[in-house]
Amino acid sequence: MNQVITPPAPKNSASKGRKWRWFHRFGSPAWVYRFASNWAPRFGVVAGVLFLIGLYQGLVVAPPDYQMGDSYRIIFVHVPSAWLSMFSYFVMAVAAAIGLVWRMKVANITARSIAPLGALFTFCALVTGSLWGKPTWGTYWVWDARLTSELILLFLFIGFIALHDAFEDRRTAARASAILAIVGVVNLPIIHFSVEWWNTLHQGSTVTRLDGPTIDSRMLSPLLIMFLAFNFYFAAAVLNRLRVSLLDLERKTNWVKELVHG
Amino acid sequence: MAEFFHMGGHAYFIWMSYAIVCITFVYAFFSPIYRHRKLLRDLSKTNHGGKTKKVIATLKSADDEFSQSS
Repeated sequence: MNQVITPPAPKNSASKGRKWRWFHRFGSPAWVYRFASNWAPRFGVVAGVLFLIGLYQGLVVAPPDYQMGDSYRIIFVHVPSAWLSMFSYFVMAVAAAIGLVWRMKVANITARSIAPLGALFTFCALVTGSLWGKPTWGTYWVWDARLTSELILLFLFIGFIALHDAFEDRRTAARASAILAIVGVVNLPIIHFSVEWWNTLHQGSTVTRLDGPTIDSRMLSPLLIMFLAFNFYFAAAVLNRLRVSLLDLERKTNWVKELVHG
Repeated sequence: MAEFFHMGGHAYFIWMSYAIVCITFVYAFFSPIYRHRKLLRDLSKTNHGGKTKKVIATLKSADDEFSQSS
């Protein structure tokens, strides 16, 4: 019985351990503000360069499709938009959940900053899909599983924003909207598997398949570059929004006063 | 070049898609930057008045002290 039982470390002590230090940093609005100010422009530049390369490859280098002709080129904006619409929803729900469990202000503001961008990606996925559907399927819209579940995702984003902004009290807003965001995650697998579960006009996966992509490499390369570009764009755009929201909400605090008055 | 813009007869659908994505993305990227700049300007204006007044008040009281002691 010579086991030494150490008492739990007191709150906010320096001995809290390395593992949690990053977590506390992300809880500090001043630190996150500085982080966002440093990294948003860098991600933005990377995204811009990748966009230019991807657009050139996608619109000029890649050959026309043997069935769809040139209209398939919409894929280079449609698929990354659709991916990000789901990915951004997932990130938003995780941030909202962290805010709900640990009462982290920054996590909640992050979720609120992601929501409009997620709505934008969903909107772009729907509109570009619609513009691709007309020459390919002969119609702008059908009420099939993939399209409908993606439309519901748009409503979830809009609902999150509306619910969040409906409360005067910030903590109530954070809690209520976080619950909506978490419940809405159920829609993500529905969107993803809709093309397998139900008969649909929408085609199945061509890139993320177990037996490898079924797409010409000259078409795959711009798609992957655009995919990367969209992800960097997302990171940069979220940090931009986060930065201005933090500054706005923390305007009465010392770090903002120091920042503003040098 | 004309052939490139024609896109094998699908010009409308392709350019419309790219235009919508491009315009919305550029707007969503730059509008928070613009708002941030404006907010910084507003904050430096609104808080500065209070600070300047405080500085003037301290200077005044120092002045009074000086005139009383001499």
